[in-house]
Amino acid sequence: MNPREEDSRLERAYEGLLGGDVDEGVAPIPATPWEESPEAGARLPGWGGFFARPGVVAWTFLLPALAAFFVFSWLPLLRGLVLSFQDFGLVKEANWVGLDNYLRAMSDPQVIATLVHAIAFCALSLALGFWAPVALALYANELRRGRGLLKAVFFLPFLTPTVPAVLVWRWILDGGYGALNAVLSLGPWGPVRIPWLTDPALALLSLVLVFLWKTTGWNALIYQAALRDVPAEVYEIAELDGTGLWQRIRAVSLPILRPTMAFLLLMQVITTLQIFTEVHLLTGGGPANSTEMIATYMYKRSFLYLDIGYAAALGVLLFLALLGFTAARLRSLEES
Amino acid sequence: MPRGLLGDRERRSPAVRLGFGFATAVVALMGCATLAPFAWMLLTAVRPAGELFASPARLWPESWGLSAFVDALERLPLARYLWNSVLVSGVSALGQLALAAPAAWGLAHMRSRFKPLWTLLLAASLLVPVETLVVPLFLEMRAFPLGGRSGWNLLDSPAALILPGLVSAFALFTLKAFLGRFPREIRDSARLDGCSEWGVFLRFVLPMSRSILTVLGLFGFIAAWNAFFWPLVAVSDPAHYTLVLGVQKLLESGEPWNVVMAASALSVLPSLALFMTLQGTLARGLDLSGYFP
Repeated sequence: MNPREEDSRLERAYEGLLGGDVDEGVAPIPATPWEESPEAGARLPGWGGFFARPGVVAWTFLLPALAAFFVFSWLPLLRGLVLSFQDFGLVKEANWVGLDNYLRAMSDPQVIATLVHAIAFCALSLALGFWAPVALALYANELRRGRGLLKAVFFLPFLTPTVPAVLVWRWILDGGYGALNAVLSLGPWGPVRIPWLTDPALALLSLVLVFLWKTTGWNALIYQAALRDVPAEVYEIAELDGTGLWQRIRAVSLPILRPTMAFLLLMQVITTLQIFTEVHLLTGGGPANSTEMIATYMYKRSFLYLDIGYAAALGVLLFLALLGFTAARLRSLEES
Repeated sequence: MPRGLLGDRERRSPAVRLGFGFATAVVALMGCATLAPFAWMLLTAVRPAGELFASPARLWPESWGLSAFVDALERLPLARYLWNSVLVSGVSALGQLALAAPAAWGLAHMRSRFKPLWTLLLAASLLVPVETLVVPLFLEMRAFPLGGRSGWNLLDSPAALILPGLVSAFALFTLKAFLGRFPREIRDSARLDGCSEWGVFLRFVLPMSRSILTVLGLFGFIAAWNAFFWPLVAVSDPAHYTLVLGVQKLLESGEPWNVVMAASALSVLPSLALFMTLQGTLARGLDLSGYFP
């Protein structure tokens, strides 16, 4: 499969996610008779006839899911929107305050700080970890033996529930009694006590390390799945041409991986903006708020300070940010 | 047979061998770093509490024992939490599929005037972060509008954990993309033979999509099993803790690290067991994720 086809395949998959028809190239198939005639079910008397009508049948398929989405997704979203225009704590009456919550969010230094932290987190994790899974996938693709073992090892962090994984990291990164400092103390420089989680300059980096530990293997597996679709002939031709290995990676492998890279980049930004468990359990947003993220800040606002209207406004802003980012990203994908 | 960038002849050249050996060493190091936290979890769990406070830490325990596991089992009603987790994850995963599969089939193959609207709304659900929904869902669950005058308080019950997990826009769209390719002839001929729409769906569509349903079910199960944010908010009565929530509360209540690590190790086991038994299916699932990112 050539890279262009790969691109358009991914685009089609995106359209599938966002509602376009997946088999766009296929001509519409003429309607079958029972879809055409509204009276098709009318010959049956009573309820049987009612439920056999095409329009009604379609509803029986869609309605349960739509009802569930209404109650557990759309209604809460709407409620959140309403709350964001109110001053509301759990114990007091709600007051309408118009745009106050939003105006407050714009000038809240804490919110701006969470934004800075999210950008720093994203930049750090991309700088340190963007290419590792690509390299790992390229390596795994060359393996003739042991690929299964490699996959199992790198799948493990993804499979492990976040809570025990993050707890063990908190213990490893402990400044006084942690294993990381113990390993570093083995060096010729003697014992070290690096406060990985309690130094504002290091805490964010530690978070990034834990995040990369959890995601690198999984991303490599996704890249590897994309690489497997390349027909052997493509590589054979490249080999017969006598192109060097580096050239082949640049001319064959990377173009094939590019759509997956774009997708994972988008996912990374989305995940970063929403990160909660890791931060809540590793640093709790500290030290000195140096790792506060929007989700942990919202959690504190709602359940510690019962400042629910404000937290809801932050939630709406987060949703809008994700929406805008995804739309911009998809548009640039479509254009390229 | 898929092959890599390197041909058989090239693989024998000394330069390539050297480079490959170097790459193998780097990857092996990364593998060790990946596994190290698990090792440290176990090495901490088997040592007595007195050994926890050496600085720098002793990497290899001086004395071994399972007392931390015994303590963890005493402080954690493990069987109870395990059952809570199995119940919540199992019902969420099955419910997700039961709701998403017919809807995906309907959206992929049936006519409905409002289809674009539904698709748009469902796509919006795909992007709504859990953070945005947590507070409104908390309020909704506190006064669920189906009973009593001021609603029905579902917080601190399995229902609070299960219900919001029933909807998965990801499962729905993945299934829709998959079922969109379902051979039209099968549907048409079954219909001409007098099969109803639901008959086609139950007798042909579901059995033929068994593998993707298994994979999505697994993803749903793992997601619910690992969930932390929503259970943290929705449940405060220890009787309804899920396993991972129970483990986190153990640390919060000031237990020493060897007990916390023993409990963590125990909470990782079910995921591992599930992975071992369903490895083949998951491997196929990764193929699918290549198609439907």
